[in-house]
Amino acid sequence: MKFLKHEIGSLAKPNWRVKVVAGRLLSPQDYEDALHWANQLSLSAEPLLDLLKTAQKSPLNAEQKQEVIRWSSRFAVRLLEKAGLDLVYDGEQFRTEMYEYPIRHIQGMELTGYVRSFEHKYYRKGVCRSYPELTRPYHLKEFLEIIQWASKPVKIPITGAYTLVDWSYDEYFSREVLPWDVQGQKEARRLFLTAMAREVIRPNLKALVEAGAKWIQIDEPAVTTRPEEVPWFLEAFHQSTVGLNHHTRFTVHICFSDYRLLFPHIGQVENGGPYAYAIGFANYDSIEHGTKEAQRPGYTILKLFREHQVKARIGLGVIDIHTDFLEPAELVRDRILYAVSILGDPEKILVCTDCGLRTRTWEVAYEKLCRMVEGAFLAERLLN
Amino acid sequence: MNLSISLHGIFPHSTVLAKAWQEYERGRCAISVPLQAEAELFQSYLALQKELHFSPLTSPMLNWLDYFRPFTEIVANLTAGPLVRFPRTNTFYRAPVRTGSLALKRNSLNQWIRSYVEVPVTEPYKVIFPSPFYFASSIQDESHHPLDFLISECSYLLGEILQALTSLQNCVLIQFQEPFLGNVAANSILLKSLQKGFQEMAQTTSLPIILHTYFTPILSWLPRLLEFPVFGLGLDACHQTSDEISCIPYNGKMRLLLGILDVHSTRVERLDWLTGYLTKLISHWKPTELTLSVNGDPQFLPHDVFLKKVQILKEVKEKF
Repeated sequence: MKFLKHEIGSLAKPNWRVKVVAGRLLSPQDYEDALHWANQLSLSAEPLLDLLKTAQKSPLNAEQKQEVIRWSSRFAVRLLEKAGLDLVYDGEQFRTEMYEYPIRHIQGMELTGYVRSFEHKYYRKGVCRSYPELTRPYHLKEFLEIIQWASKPVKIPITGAYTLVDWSYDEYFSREVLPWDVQGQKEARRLFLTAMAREVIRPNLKALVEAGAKWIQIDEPAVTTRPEEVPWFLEAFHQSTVGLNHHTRFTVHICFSDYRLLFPHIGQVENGGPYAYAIGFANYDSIEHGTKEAQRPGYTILKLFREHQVKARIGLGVIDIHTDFLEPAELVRDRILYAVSILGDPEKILVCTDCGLRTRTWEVAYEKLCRMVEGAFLAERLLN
Repeated sequence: MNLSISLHGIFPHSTVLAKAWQEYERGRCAISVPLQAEAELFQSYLALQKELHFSPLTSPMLNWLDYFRPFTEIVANLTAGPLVRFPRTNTFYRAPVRTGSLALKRNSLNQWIRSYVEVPVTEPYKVIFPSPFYFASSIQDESHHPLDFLISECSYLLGEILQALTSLQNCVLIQFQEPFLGNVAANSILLKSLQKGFQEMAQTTSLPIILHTYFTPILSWLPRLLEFPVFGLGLDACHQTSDEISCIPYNGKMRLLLGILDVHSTRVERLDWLTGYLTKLISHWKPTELTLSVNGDPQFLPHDVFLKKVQILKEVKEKF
């Protein structure tokens, strides 16, 4: 057997890409950085380097900026391929982030002002002012670009309906509901979710499937925000994907949540549920080597997946994305072996990072991924 | 009936302030830039409260990173821990981690009060703190003490701070925020610990104390809460109807604080909805003192929406 290895979604955006898009002049160091990675990734990037030379003297025009974004996408895809992953994407180089970007493409949704997420981190919340409808499939163009330069199978991430609804205000579905009508508010929220799944996410997925997407990852970090609504998330997943999963595998990514709240619901899905749940575990684990329970506290939650007979596979997060600590391959191996001992079947496991690596430098991200691949190989060798 | 309007909690950071912090965190400006923006917003919030005749005034708490972080500066054996999601939101706080017995760092107390508590106004103002139950429920205790022990420890700690507040000019009220009572599995024993905690805190200060509950229905605990040794009790109108509240016997002794504007919704409440709610409640409970407010921290709203919403409190007050 062989583990399927993938990154979750985001990578950092190179400084040269950020500065060019912001209309700022590049420093010689930014140019050197691009040159270094072009060499590192064995890419002939002369057209990019020419553009970056120009960008040291004057801002680039809109078309040139797009070309630089394409190059950063090409670099990121190549980085994941060179690290040895089996499924790749481009670290979301075409996107700004995972919430505001989709909201901007949904008719009926408007962005309001900033709300604090924590400390001095903010996000702009959307508000639903009329029935939500997709203006155009908002990830299709980037998908069609990326498959041109990816030599490995592509897995495209997309923010799910539940998270888009949970992170937004609603002034449309609840417009006639009294503030203290708790039941009425719930019903309005459910209608909002159904509309988001059917009218926004499903057409997006359909367009991607028709364009040849074989792996689609639905990101749902908000799923456990309201524990009583976990069944609603499953319903929204079904509404988003039903009829589209004949040749396409839909996985769900959930991170940094109290995963206990997913049960028993995700074990009760008979057919048509996610192909896999990609979940972060390493963040909660020790860095001690070993496959005993005491050494693997971050992975004991897997017992719930076994007890509740969850049919979906597990995307096993074995790399902590919050630190620069480079997980030794042996630690990755032990995390996988422990998971296999709990789940009983290595075929149930895909190997991945806890979440996207966008807060790490490319140097650290690349090294972490290489060790993840090596660790998976060590585990395979023992299991085979 | 004496009807007043007042605000409470952590206020929204404006776009200007949010962008200033973003620029600072990206290394594009000095710390003075966001601090200046924060100071200006602080003053504008005080001016807004005065203009709309909110009384007492309250600090917008713009420098509170969350409800517990300031306490990690003034309490020994309490540090800022991992990010935890505030229930039912996409907002997070750092869990206070208890590494030993909690003790107040008295040497830094006066400076701490100036930074986080004191409001530079000549009008009366109130001070907002987390309730001992909210505080204790959020603590990650390395020694794994039971919750009632932590409630008692937090009450003692808060009581010590209250003692130091009596010297503050114009501070007229202490309000304890309690969003967890309906979320965490509260029980009779814990409620008894909390009641005892309020008794002890009340002995440390001459200032009246309000316990404000929000973001959860607390009807099942309401009869017990009405027995608490506090000057006033706050209820979240967005989680219980006026009919539901009216079913609970009310002795008329406590001042009632009603969170009637929902900070989880950008929809501006209609005047007829609010007056309808209030008319029913007033006719049943006949409170002698009633304060209208937002249900919880305004920081869950964008700044511009918050500014629109608070106007309606003034309109409601004028209707009664």
